[in-house]
Amino acid sequence: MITVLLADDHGIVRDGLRRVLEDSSDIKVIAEASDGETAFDMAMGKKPDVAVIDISMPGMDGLEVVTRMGTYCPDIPVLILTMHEEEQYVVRAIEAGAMGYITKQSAPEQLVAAVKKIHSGGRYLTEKASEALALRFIRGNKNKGLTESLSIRELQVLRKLATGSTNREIAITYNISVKTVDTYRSRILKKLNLRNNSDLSRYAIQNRLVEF
Amino acid sequence: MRLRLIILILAVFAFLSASTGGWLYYYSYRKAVFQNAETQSEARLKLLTDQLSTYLSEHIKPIKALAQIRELKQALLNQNLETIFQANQILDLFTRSLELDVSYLMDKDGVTICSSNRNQHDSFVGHDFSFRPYFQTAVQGQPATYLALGTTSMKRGVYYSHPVYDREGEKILGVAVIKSSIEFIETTLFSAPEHILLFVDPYGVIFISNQPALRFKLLWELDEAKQEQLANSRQFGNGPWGWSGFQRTTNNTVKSPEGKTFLFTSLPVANYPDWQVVFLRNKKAIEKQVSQPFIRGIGPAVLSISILAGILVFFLYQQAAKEITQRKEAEKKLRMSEERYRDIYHKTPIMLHSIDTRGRIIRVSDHWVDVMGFARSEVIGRHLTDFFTLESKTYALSTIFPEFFKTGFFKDVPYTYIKKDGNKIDILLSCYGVRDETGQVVRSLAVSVDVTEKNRTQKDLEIAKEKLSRYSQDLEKQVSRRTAQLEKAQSNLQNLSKNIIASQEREKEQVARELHDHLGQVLTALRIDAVWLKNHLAENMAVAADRAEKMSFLIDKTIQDVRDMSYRLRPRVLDDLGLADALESLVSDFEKRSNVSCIFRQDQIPEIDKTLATGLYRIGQEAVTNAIRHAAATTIVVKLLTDDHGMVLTVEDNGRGFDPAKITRQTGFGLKGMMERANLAGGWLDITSAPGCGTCITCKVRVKGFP
Repeated sequence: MITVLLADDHGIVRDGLRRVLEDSSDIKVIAEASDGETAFDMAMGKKPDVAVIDISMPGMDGLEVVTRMGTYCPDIPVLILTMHEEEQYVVRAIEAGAMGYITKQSAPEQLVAAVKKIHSGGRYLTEKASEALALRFIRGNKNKGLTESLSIRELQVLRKLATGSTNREIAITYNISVKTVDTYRSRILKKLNLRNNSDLSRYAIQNRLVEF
Repeated sequence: MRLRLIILILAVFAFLSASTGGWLYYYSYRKAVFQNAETQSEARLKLLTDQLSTYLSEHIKPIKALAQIRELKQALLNQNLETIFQANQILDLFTRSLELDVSYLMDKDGVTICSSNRNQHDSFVGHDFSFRPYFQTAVQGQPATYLALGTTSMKRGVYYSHPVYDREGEKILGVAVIKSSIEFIETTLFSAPEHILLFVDPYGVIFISNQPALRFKLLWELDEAKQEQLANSRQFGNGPWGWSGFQRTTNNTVKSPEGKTFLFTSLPVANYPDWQVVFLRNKKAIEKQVSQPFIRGIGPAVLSISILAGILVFFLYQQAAKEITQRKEAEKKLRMSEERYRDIYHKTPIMLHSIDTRGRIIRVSDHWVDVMGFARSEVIGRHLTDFFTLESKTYALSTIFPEFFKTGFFKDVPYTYIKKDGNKIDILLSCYGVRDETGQVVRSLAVSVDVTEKNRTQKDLEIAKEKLSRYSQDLEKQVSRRTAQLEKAQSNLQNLSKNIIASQEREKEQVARELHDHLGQVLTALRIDAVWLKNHLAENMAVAADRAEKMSFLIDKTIQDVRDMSYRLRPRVLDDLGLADALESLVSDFEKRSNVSCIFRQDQIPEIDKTLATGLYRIGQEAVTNAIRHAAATTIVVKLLTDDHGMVLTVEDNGRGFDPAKITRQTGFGLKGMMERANLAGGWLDITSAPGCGTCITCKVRVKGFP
């Protein structure tokens, strides 16, 4: 049985989430909190196996709770659950020490799997989230070179192309047209002064753009 | 005119001096020539006299010899045919051999007994010549010579007589005589064509002459008694002897009856007491003799000198004439200029006056008189200060006059004149001193400018200025008051604007939060339930499960809409994660929606307050929106960097650009908004753009405590 701390300032949502979690027979919500302080206290007091924490909460926000927990009870893995889809939050959450990140919207489908995953010591990140992290790492790399002239979307497409994705697959992934993908491709080739996809792959590997 | 006269006089003087010099030269020359002639004539006369004397003494010895001959003595002692014949033979011999005129023998009574011309018609034989002095002298025992005209022969001759003694030589028996002709003497010795040579006896009878007409004429006028004596002597016949007409004018000049002047020289002849050789030289001839060579020699020289002098005089005269013409021209010009000066002085409508060293007016211009209202006669000679006010007079006499006569110059001296009608006029007087050769100021030339009107105007102007300055001070006060009001109003307006924006943001934030937190959460909860329903109905009621799934999709879509709406209103990331993350999110959102390559770069940026972050975020949002919407850019680079003073946000695109000077009200609205936001944030906005060169919008803000 996995004991879980659930912190969300919205009661309805919290109820829904608890139901989702408790539908699974081996997960039990042992504590609930509607603000950051309570969440931290609960975590310290109840010592749950996993803490599921919303970022946006009154008072101490989720990220700070994660940071504190990293200091005071580092053995409790934290899953960040949020309304926000922006990659910036993902990056912040992971940087703060969270082990997983899912949106509330995808909670019915992914919450249980995520809790189980981080409870077993792994990370739970959606594909999007891990990509955001990768990009952030690439961008933060001091040895930037030509990649600095690429936009986020261009980097995304570059990584996909380097790992052998077809234009169609990329179009579906990012919800854009095939033609647009092609436009991106030629733009990247031009910016990096490359000729074809194999050049592109070599470049991506050499510059450690595809390790994640 | 005077110069011409002077030149003329000089010329005359020059001529006179030349003439005088010439004459003096001529005179001395002539004198020398005359002296020379005199000497010559004297020498000649001496020679002549000597020769004459020699000729006249030629037969003294022969007569002595003749008188010794025995035949003659015999004839005298014993007069018979034989002795007479013998004696005549001797006389013939003598006459022939000595080429005499005649020789003869007289007895002691003076009767001729023998003669060489006894056979001629004028024979002397028998004639008694005892009256002759030569006989009388000889019969006394003395040989004699005598000049006379022969009474018988009527020929002139020289008579030589000598007594004839007896054998013992004691008793005089008779007298032997030789008569020699003087024709030879006259023709050989007395030859001077242009002059007159005379041999004259003591009475002045001309005995020998180179002028035949003058023979036996009296050289000088002789009184009757002497003429009678002369006639009695029968020496030169019986006369009468006419006067030659010569008159002695001075000691050594003689005038001829024709009026000619002769130089007179005379010398006595030996053995002929009181006889004289007279030399009358024609003065004219001598002069001619003098002047001809003089004129021949000196003439051309004198002539050329005269011509040269003439040319010189002419040249000088020409020069003088030219100079005179020039001087006249100059004088004319001077006169004209003087007239012009006078005209200018009098007619120029300026008050001019001149004073002498005592301060008396010596000249005033017409305008001076006109302005002052005096007649000129009332002004000239009066002291200048008579027309001054007392104050001006004191000032002039104590300060200005002494200084002026020292320095000779003054400018803009303020005086007040009193006109004839008693009105006063203000004057600015400038004057300069006219100096004499020694540099002393002798009179002044002064210009008086009537400044009465000007002074009045100036006074008015000053009053007006004062008024104006009062007005302007009032105005300034009002302006500063208004400015303060305006500043206050502007500040109010700015505050209002700030407040409006702030409240707008607040409202947006509220609405966004409401949407996101409330509606979003509710929808999320609904979705959870919908999914739960679907999962629970899937086995038993497939239709319901399907419906639940559709519901779930709808909820998903709605959540997305709400999220978008919320994001547009105000992204939570700005409040939750700060400006940099918000901008990054913004940029990637734009990229997703536009397919434009959007790049974001950032420095590590400090914590900033919410208002500033909002302002910068909105500026970036607007700029990127514009770039995508209007610029047709393919690349947009957004940079959030730091500099020495704070933060710099730049949004750069490679779009079509625009001319910032031509921003219209409508298109420029977004830019205006950005500027206002920058202003309110305490920063400033710079827009750099040109058509075809893209656009760069820079916003710089100061951050407190930075760096």
